[in-house]
Amino acid sequence: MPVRTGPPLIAGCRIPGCCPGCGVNDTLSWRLQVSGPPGSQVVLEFERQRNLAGRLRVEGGAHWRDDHTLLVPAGESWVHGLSFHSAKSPMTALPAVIGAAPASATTRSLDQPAPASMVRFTVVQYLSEVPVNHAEMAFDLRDLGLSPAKAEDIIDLHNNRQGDSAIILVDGWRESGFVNDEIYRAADRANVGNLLPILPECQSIFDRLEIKRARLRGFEVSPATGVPERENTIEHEARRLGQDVRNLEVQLDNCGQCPYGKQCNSEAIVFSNGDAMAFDENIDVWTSAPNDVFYARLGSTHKIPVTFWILPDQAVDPQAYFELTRTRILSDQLRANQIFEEYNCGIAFTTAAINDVGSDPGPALPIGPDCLEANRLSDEIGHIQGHINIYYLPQVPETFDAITCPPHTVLILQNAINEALAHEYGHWLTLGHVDGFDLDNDGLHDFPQTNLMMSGGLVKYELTEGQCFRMNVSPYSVLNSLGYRTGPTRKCRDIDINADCPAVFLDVKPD
Amino acid sequence: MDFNLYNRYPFRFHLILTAVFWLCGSHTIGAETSKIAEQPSVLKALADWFECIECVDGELQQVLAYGKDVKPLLLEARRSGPTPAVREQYRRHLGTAYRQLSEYAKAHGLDAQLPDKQAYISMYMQSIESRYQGRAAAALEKLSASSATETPASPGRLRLIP
Repeated sequence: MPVRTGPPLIAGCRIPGCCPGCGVNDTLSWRLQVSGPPGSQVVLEFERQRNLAGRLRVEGGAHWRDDHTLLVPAGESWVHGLSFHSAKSPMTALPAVIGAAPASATTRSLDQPAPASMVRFTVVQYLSEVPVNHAEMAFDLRDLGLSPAKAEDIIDLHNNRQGDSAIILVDGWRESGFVNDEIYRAADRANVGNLLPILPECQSIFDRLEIKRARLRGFEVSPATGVPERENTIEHEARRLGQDVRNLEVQLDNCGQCPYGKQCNSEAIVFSNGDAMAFDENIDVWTSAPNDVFYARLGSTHKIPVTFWILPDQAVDPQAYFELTRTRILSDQLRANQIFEEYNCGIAFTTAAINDVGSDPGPALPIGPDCLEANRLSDEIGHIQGHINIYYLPQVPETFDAITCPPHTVLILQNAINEALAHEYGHWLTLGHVDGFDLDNDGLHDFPQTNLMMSGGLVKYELTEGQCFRMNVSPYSVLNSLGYRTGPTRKCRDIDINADCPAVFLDVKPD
Repeated sequence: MDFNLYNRYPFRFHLILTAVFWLCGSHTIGAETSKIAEQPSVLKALADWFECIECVDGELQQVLAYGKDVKPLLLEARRSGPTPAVREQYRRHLGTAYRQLSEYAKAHGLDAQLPDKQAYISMYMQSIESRYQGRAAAALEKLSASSATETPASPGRLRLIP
């Protein structure tokens, strides 16, 4: 049975002062909601507690397995009587999800609504009748590590240096039609079943469509003579070509379910720890026979140089402050690199220099998230073209942690949280905030609270494959706009889900 | 206090006591704070303000919209920083992050860039202390500035959430 663990749940308020004047007898109630396939349940193991079963009152389907472990089945349950007054060691429960093994552990498009293998767990903490804290978790119980047992066509991974279980997304044609973002896991070779070349009738329609589109784009120039034709002829030709293009787009949409009037390419995207994302968008090795092999070549991680600038804090010893901030920068940078590697994005940030601005009295400091102020700092202090420039500010009035500003600039407070820098890198690589996304319209949030690109929350570190893909291929990503990656680009907005753009929330576990 | 009764109906008792304090015109911080703390929208606005990174989506303005009624909560945050639950959550997160960083640093020969575990956790724990206290102070400062020119908000202006 698959088991997944979640972040610890800690009894207590999220906001200071939510229980003013509470006595030692005031306790919390937790409302626990579990949804998922039959047989799924959440196990809550309370730390450092004895005889909880006798002290906490439980309602609903939840029941005690032993004196500190609560089993919570699908549905709603309540636990009453949780103490939260200990500042040193608040009551803490570690959640784990156990589910029945999913029927099929091969592939699926994650662009589709949440499958039956997904377990959702929500905890709302109540003081009296007031919700004072909450947590949401989603666990995908599928084991995507398996490929079809029958060896047919193969994707062969070259140069997977860490030998990790790479994540492979496949677009292509099968007898049943076009498949989008099928998921495979492999360290070296993935059996991907029998993939076909594009259906001949679709290819024919697409070729004609491309010709018509090209002519439409240049319709004011006569294809025969290369000189402008008379105006009324131009308008007539444009109307006719426009109608032809629309007709062919409809035909292509109806041809093997290839959406949006686009050619459905045979593609492979490979995400692997410590390697650049491999993206092949026109695979032409698939034939109607089995045993075709496609070689996906993994390359070195893309590296983006970063220059840091430490602005002085007049209140403390300059040398001590520089050393303290330097330590902070190295830790922030290390965390960013570890996250971008662990979540398979294949992007790294190199520290080109850590500069001590150190002037006395130093430039005037921004007092808020203001990009005009960032521009002023660039002018007064310095800015290295082609690098991301990060300005570490001392503890100015705390109205923000960090902000991105053009051109390729980040303002960040010296005492920002440990993932603020990684979050800002995400912005420079084109990611937006993901709070409240429900792109698949299933009524549930697409992203966990721990996604790196949540605008709030203190604990955020995860990235999805959909986010990694966008950071790599967007022409607006600093990776491409500054020329640190060469390769095909695509304009995939966060809301785009189609044959060209995997869903931004597409996330394959384990990473 | 009848503890048996209290234990049997703790929630109701808490509300009754709060109401009694309020109706009697008690001006203890506890009673005032309870009144507004019972509104989830206030708690959300404060959480958004305390936890935002860029803070450019009107997080501070949402807090200020509650006027002087939110002041006791801000005073408490300025005085005591984050709650024990938030501290514990972040401390555990830092411990996990440090373990991951150690493995990453070791694999990449970057051990020298990582401070020891205690220093790492302490460095960032201080960050959230100053963040909560600093942001509470910033909001209080704005409130004070606006209250000098505006009529104080009355309890009737509270946005009560069912």
